[in-house]
Amino acid sequence: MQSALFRIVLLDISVSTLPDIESVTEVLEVAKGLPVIALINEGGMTKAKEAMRLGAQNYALKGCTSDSLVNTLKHAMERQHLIAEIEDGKESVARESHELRNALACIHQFSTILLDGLAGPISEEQREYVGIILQNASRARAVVENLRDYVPYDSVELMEQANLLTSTIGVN
Amino acid sequence: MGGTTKNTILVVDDNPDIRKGLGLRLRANGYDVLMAADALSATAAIVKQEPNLVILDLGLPCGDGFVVMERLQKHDQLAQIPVIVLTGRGKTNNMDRALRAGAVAFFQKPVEDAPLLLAIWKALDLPQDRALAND
Repeated sequence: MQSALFRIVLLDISVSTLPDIESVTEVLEVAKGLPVIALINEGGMTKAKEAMRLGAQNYALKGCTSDSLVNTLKHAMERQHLIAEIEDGKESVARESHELRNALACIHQFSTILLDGLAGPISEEQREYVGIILQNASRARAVVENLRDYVPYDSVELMEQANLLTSTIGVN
Repeated sequence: MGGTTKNTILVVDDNPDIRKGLGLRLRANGYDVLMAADALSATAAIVKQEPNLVILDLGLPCGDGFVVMERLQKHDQLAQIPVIVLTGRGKTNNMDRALRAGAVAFFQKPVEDAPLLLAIWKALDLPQDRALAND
């Protein structure tokens, strides 16, 4: 299954017995991040919940209206898009945090080298100015330290939107 | 290993400014300093010159810090060289992993000089007044 060719997977588990729910796991492995929607018959909520516990993003009733099915597919793809944005945001913050830490390490290192006179004597005025550089580097460091597990604030909002989409269509 | 005195430190970091800054600080504290900018040359320097301690960045070209530690652990003698990790990467996914891989200490950049020098003293088992001489 090539993700470049498919954007979503509809998996019919309506006629399967419980052991066949394993097919969800197999499909999820092959789908590699694509949203999987389980198709069930009316009364098949147990199987739907089990499929979602295994990683299916949502379920749809066989025989539902085409509008309902289209909405489910649309929500699934939007949710997938939001999740991808969150992951991109995390990676971006981690990468930028790494760069900031390296830059701050250099500022800190060379400021203390100057203050300690390792590069020769400095005047009181120069000492004051280097001290100001160091203090501000410490402030910037505190900002980096406070990044919450490298999750950007916007991504929290995105996750809330993703959850809202899920709850809108009646799935926990 | 590194002569009769335990004072040779290999600094491994791909950022030349970090290498220069650390080198100045360590030399001012009486250490001999070797430098490497990637995982491959770091491993080569450790094998050839057997420093007494390695300060190791994790994000490196030609592999990473974990690759360097993994190679050291495969050699009985080189595995005895203490490694202090100094990285810009996050603690969450890296600190425990680094300590399990054989590091004796883990620091995130930027690090204050005092705790880094203390970790070096401890790792080299040196009397503290020796390294404090230039502070």
